[in-house]
Amino acid sequence: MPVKPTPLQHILIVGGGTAGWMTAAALAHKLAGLPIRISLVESEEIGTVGVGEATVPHIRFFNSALGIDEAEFMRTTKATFKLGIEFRNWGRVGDSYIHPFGAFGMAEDGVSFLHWWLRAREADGNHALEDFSLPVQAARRNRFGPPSQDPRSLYSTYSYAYQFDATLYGRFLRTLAERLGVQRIEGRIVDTALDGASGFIRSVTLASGQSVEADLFMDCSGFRGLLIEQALSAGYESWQHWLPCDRAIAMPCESVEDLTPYTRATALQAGWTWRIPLQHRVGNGHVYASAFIDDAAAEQALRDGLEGAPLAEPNRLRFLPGKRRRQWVGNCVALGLAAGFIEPLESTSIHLVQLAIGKLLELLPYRGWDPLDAAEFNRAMDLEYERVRDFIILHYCATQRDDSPLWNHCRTMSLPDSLAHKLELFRERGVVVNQRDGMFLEPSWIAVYVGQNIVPCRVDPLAAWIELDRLAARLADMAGACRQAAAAMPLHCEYLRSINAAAVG
Amino acid sequence: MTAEVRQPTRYVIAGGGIAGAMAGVAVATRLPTGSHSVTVLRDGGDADASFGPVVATRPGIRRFHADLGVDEDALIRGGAASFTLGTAYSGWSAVRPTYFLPYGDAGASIEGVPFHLLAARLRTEGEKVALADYSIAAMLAQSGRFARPSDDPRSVLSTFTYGLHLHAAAYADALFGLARRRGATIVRDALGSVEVANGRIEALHLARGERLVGDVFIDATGARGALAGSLRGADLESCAGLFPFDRTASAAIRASAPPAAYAHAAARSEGWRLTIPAAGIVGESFAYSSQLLSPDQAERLLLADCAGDLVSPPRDEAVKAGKRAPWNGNCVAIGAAAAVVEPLHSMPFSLLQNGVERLLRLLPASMEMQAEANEYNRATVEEIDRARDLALLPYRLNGRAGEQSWDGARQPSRNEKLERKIDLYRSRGRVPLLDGDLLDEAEWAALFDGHGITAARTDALAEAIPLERLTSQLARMRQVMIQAISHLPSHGDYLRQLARGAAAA
Repeated sequence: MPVKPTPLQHILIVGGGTAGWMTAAALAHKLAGLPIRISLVESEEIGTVGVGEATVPHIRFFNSALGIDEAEFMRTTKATFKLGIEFRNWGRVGDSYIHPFGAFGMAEDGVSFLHWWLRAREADGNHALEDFSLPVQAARRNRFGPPSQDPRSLYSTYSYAYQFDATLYGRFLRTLAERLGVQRIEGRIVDTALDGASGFIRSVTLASGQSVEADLFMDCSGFRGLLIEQALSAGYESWQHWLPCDRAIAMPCESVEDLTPYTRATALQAGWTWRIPLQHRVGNGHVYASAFIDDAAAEQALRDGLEGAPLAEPNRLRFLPGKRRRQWVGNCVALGLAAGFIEPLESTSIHLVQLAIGKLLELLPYRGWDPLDAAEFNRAMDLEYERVRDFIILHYCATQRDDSPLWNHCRTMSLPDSLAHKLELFRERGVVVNQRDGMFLEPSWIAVYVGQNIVPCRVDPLAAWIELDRLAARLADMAGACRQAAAAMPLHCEYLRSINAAAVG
Repeated sequence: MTAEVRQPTRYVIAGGGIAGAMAGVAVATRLPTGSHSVTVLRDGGDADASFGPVVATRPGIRRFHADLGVDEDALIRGGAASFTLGTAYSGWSAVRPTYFLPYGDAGASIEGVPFHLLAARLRTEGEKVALADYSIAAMLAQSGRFARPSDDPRSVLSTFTYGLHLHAAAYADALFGLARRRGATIVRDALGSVEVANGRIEALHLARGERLVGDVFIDATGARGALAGSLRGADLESCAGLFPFDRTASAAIRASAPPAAYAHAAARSEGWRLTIPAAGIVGESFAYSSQLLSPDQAERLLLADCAGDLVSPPRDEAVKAGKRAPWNGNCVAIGAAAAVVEPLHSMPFSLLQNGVERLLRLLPASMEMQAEANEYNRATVEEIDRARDLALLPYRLNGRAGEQSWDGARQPSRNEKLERKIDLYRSRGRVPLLDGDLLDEAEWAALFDGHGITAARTDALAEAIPLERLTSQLARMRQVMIQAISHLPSHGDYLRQLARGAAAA
């Protein structure tokens, strides 16, 4: 007979950025039926990384589980809809492709659409793969509408996410979390006391001298890993040999262009810039490799690319790509930037926080502390991080650029075995390795491979039989349907207003 | 597109059992008939020996039939297949004399908390909750009723599914016929020798002198691996020592009553016995240790409990558990030719089916076929290893104290992945799923539960749900289920309706 475990009495979240308040809100909501006290300590002296933040569709499940009203959330965080990410200059200078939240075309007769497309391409190279993606067609036209629930409708072939002001999202979740009973403690942590016998964290001491004890500590303190690294020495695994970028400058500017329903990532000579359109401004940043460009030149490159007047002084960040060797040590679990850093190229940061929260809830410890919980959490999170890492590396290694040292390095570097295998299989045979875990599924891999000019050198033998005339006609119909459906959607800015999601003032 | 690479167009499949028949139908259905040839050597060999005369499949068989246009009703009318709702286990645990592993859901999750964790919570409150009481499949099996599941996701009758019990010889006949109608050439002869050059198979020489030349060879010859074994580097890696029983006696018994819609696996002191009823025939097999019983003794034990006439003389086989790299050169081994695993949980059949489906996804597009082989082997070997973990489980957790073979089998294995599953379940009822796992979390949990394993503590998320809400939801769930199945026909009536062509799909 299982026994009721002695529950934790107090969970302390350290750090009030996006990760911290997401954790606070989710825990307070999910554990409402248990006598667990949840507090969050943050300091107004310490800034958060809160730049414009782009997300992936899973965020919608997070919000809806918390009962968040979409229009209210979008008004408050000045959010926009996101159908995907446009990548410029990644394969070659001048290239552009969109990685959409949706599949390309439809599989038929056991053959993936990719291979119907490859087969048609042999005959005439008229159609780009993106012609068969409704979200891409909509994005290219700055249009947006909600997906349909009816699986027969073309409008059911995509999903969407948001782009929002992360600082405002943090504040929004703070209000929610405090309403759910989370206690906010203002203060800067100056010391961490460990238990001599177990090595567990016993308490943290604030600058005011106040000491806060807890059973479980959630380290959401950002890059530095105040608890997980500075107090518990979890160790850090660097991935810089695969991901050379180690700095970023962020700087918002005025919106000039039409409101795009997608994020943009433009490759430069020693890194790349992001462009995240919000309702009231555009978030910009330059992620670069300090080995290949100095800070001043990097800032200049960012300024040169701004579409409107800058709205703030540059915000500079330094990081080391990689992850903690153990994200859960003793009674401390690290989330967000404290757990690892993977550059925001595919908007994975918030999703990894969300995954970690979900895993932690599944494996919520009790006061008896079974080390199996931490072991399973670390196994699962390591796998997620590694699979995201491989997908990000793909953007760098699948390039034909030879115009600068960064790209020469990336084009020729040796890859993790797991990625080398995936790449070879796609290049040779046009098949995407599918695995149980890992957030990016087949359509995402296809979008990036093909978008960066990795075109399989062989067509599935099963696609070989169809008559080219019939195939061409079918593809033309499909592309026409996508175009029409996209054109029929409202403009992104109009749709925002129509659902009362536009921020006032 | 690389110009003129010679594509493999000639497929030769060796094996006269269900593996050869399934591969034949799959390849003949998918490959363009004008440009490709499919030849199946239907020898009289013992390819199905490791399956026994009747084969239990999991629900995945429905996908195989639907994808390839195999008419399930016709198979059932023709006596080649009958329905199965799961497997009853008896004698495995000291705590639970019997348990039932159903197909489909057992209970519904509440607030995202899996049902088995809710059940564990309720048990600590003194409630008697049997998982099978919340499974439509188990309730149907128990009451002798059957109907196919509903397509309406709102209906509780959409929460179960079914597999098939295949009369191996009749099923192979039906599929060979279908393969022939779809353009395959069926050759009835025996394999003489395999012609190998440069690590590849050039041709098969048949007993009557014919030489079958091919580009791709599929070895469906069963455990002997007649083709695969002729190539270097494809040696069988034995793991026979891991399992207590090394021989199987089997027999097919004639039956006149409508078959029960489930299989029965009974552990007894000398080994275990698997009973698989199908239309007009019941497959009986008995796994035992050659160190404890002679084949004669095993046969006597097997037949002692059989009521009915023998269809053919009983057989007795050595079971050599092991695996090999399934795709080597231009030869792909499927089914028992790739791996021999224990027949509990229909693992051998699932591995066979997944192997055929994976081959369709990776049909070689060039004569070199190395990229395809690498991925095929990676995914297949992973799955075989996970199937082996599962095969070890009923021994590892057996409750048969004081019996030589069983006592020895209870030692913790050196299999880290299996031990981790057991440990985490024992600790808190969660089961980590890995790439290649063939059962889902609920099925693993039902297995642990059936073996009388109880988690040491309840789940925090289950504790967070108010008790009254849990009890009332479960009561309602059960009531809705009883109500829903009370309208369904008996299995016999359903089969009679189906025979008349009147059963609703």
